[in-house]
Amino acid sequence: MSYATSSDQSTMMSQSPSPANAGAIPDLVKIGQIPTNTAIDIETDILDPVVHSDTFCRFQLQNKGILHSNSKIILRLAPNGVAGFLPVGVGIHSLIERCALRVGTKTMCEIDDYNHYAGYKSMFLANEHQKQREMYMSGRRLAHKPYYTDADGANNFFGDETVLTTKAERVGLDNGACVSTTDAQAVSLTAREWLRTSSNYGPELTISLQELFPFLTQNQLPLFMMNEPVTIELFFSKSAGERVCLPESASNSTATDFTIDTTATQLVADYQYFPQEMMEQYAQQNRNLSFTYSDYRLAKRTIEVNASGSEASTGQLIINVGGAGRLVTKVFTSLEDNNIKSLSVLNKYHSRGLSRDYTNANEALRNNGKLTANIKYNDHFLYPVDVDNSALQFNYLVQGEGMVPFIQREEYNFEGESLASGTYEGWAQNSEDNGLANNFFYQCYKLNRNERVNSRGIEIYNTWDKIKNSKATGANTTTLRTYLEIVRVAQLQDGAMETFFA
Amino acid sequence: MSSRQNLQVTPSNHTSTGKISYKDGNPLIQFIIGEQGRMLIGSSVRLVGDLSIFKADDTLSTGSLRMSEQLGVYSIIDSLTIKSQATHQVIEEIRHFPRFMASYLPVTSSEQDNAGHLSMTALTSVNYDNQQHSVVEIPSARNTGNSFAINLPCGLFMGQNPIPLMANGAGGVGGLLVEIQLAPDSNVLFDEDGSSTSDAVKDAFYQLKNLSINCEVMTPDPSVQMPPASTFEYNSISSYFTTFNSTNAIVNFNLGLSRVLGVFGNIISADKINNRGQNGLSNNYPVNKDGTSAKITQLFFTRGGERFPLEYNVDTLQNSNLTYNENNDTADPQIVQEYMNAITQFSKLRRTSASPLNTKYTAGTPAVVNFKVDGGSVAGIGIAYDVISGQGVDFSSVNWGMNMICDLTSDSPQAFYLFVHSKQTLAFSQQGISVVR
Repeated sequence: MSYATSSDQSTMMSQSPSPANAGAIPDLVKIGQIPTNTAIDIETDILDPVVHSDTFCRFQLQNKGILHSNSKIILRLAPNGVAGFLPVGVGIHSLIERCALRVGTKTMCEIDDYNHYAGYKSMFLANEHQKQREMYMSGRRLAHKPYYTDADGANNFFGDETVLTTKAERVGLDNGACVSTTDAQAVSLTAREWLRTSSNYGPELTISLQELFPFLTQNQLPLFMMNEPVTIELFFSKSAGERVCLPESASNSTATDFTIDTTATQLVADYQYFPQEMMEQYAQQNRNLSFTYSDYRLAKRTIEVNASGSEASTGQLIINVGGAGRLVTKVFTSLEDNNIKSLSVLNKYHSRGLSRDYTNANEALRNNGKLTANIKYNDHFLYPVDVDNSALQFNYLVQGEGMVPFIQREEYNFEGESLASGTYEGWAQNSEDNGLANNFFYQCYKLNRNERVNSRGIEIYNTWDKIKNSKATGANTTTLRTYLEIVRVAQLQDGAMETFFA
Repeated sequence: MSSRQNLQVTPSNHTSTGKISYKDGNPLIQFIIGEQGRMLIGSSVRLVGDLSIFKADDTLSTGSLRMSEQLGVYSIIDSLTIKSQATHQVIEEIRHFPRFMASYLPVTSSEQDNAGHLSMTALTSVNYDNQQHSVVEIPSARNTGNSFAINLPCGLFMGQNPIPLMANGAGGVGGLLVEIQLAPDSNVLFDEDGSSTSDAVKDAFYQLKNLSINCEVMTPDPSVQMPPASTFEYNSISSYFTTFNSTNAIVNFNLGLSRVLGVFGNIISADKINNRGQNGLSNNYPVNKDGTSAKITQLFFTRGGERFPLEYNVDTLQNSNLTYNENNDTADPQIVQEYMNAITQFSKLRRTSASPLNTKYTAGTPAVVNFKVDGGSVAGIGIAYDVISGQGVDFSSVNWGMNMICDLTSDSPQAFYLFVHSKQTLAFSQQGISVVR
């Protein structure tokens, strides 16, 4: 048996219908268009978890209909006297450290450090989408707008065009609130009420199943054809320091536990039903149903950072990230500063860039640090010359995902000074330790040679210039996370699901 | 099974220092994507490098020196020419490239695009002051500068089909020669206050470093035999230039193109071009000598002397025969809509910077033109000919025309850059290549 692979998800996830019956019965599992005269019933079940604690919960789906991929899991934090707010980049996704979809005893899809994975994926949501929808659904709200300067410097913009100048030196967060700034950008934003805890309220938001299990964006689960129980397992992040961010005014509350309100956790499962005859015919014709999909494997490695003031280049590090014998279509990496947690607007769900020096008295020494990167697999490098141009690295990020990240330049490669110094919950937006600047330096490598990785696996060749130490004293560590997008095959035969690597 | 590889091509005529600038006499940059048994993925082509801007005495930029926030690094490309490496036959040439981009970019990208990914790749910005502060005045200009990686929008590279780089006789174009003519400093950099002799702008210049073209190529499946002769269809941009200086601007061109999809253009007072005291890449509706706007009151387009595709005059809001307030500054919505539709099918246009604030009539003085909100002016004129079949309208033997009545009552020549979006076919065989327009 052979499986065609492609970096293009749309073709990779396709399945071949039985040629004899092609066109007779629409492909009910593949997400797409079906004839408009087909009646579809949607039944919604509100499922409570079968097991739930502050660290773990499990849902079991009913084996009926076809599971709609946009079904949602509702999560709520318990009220807390400390006003923690959900991270700007990932929102309620910060709660989930690991998620798994299991069919019987087989794991179909599992993502480790899911909250970090969500930090990467959330960049690709349009700013407008984040501001207008995600802020209410998942709490993600990374949207930007120019901060126009007030004509009289009085910060009193009431919508009168004559009061506002045309000048906006800085760009900053847009959470729907009016902002006007003086040249000193003295704006201070706060998180919306429904995104932070208080003594009598905890934020309640949703995560869709297709975000937790990316293969569901292309395929739906035909639960009515499956005989084994289908379960969703969520492993939660640590209650202190990893779930919410703290405002500057609560900097001394880092040990506070933010617990999950277990009474609110529910799965809103939408089951689709097509005409019975059509579903029976589909099941008959697809007794042996198989499709390829992407799963993600994580490799982690710690990278040391010298004490502040004596940071230095890492030299070339060759890091084996696995993938031996697998069809790997994409690799993406993030670099977490292990010292930055809840005392920031992004929490630990960020990817650090390099240091910069913009103030050196010698102009020739001012610089932006560079990451020199390449990847080697099957004895060949991916790029003919190591890539050290950060705009090109950004371009490879775009090509790898087929979508542009909606982040600002200073947020990605720390070039230019365009982020506002105005605060969000007390943290300066242009701070690299507590704010947005230099915290989205993700890398993506599209493995475009259509080759199976040999037994040596994939090696990342990275040289980081200085990485800034966020600690005031002492050495620091960062964590390099590398996610491998691996092609897998699911096979549903007579109601039993098997999964294996392609 | 086909597989892809990444290529990095450095300029074939670069200087030993690796630094390239118009000022130092390197206005032409050539890249050779050589003849080989592979196919180029046009959409993957990126011009990559570092951009720095300096004042006359090689000091870091400060004060009133600016570049177009709308175009960013696109403003340095004066023309883009793509030739066959083997025969040096021109496959596509876009002159007045930044003027084309000045229409294309704002209409097809939103405020969030300009503040986000386009700021990263093309050094654009959502506001002039933000661009000046973060790009023109970047403190690291002497060392690392502003890194950029831009695509090169043109018909050949934006087409869906891979471009065969094989020899002519093997069913390919025989490699590609990409030529970029740099724009003069005087049309890229300007003084925002309108002084062409200020210390900030006088002899200021831009400099490029570490230039390369990065792209993906595809090795075809060996079992698939390439035909010795083949055709390749793509959408191309042809550019035209004229001036007008009267209340009745009549523009006529023999396009010589058989499948025209749309025509669009933008206007600038001719005295602003190559003038360090003015933004030579700004768009504006016509303006009079004293800087007041010359509002358009009527507009129609012709094909072979007949009104086409609109069979009526567009009488604008400023037309005194109508009941609107003819003194209002709002651009006529039909002019704006047709202009946007000519660039991208309006019904499919999901992201744009056009807004009532940056499409309205304004004075042409630096104090106004250089300080516009919402990413700068999005003024222009255009008409789409075919947004349904995609096959276009035949202008190979009939003239294209535009008739515009405006309030241009003083001696103020207006430069009109016209771009024609048309379908073209590239045919290649052992005898060489030919472009069917």
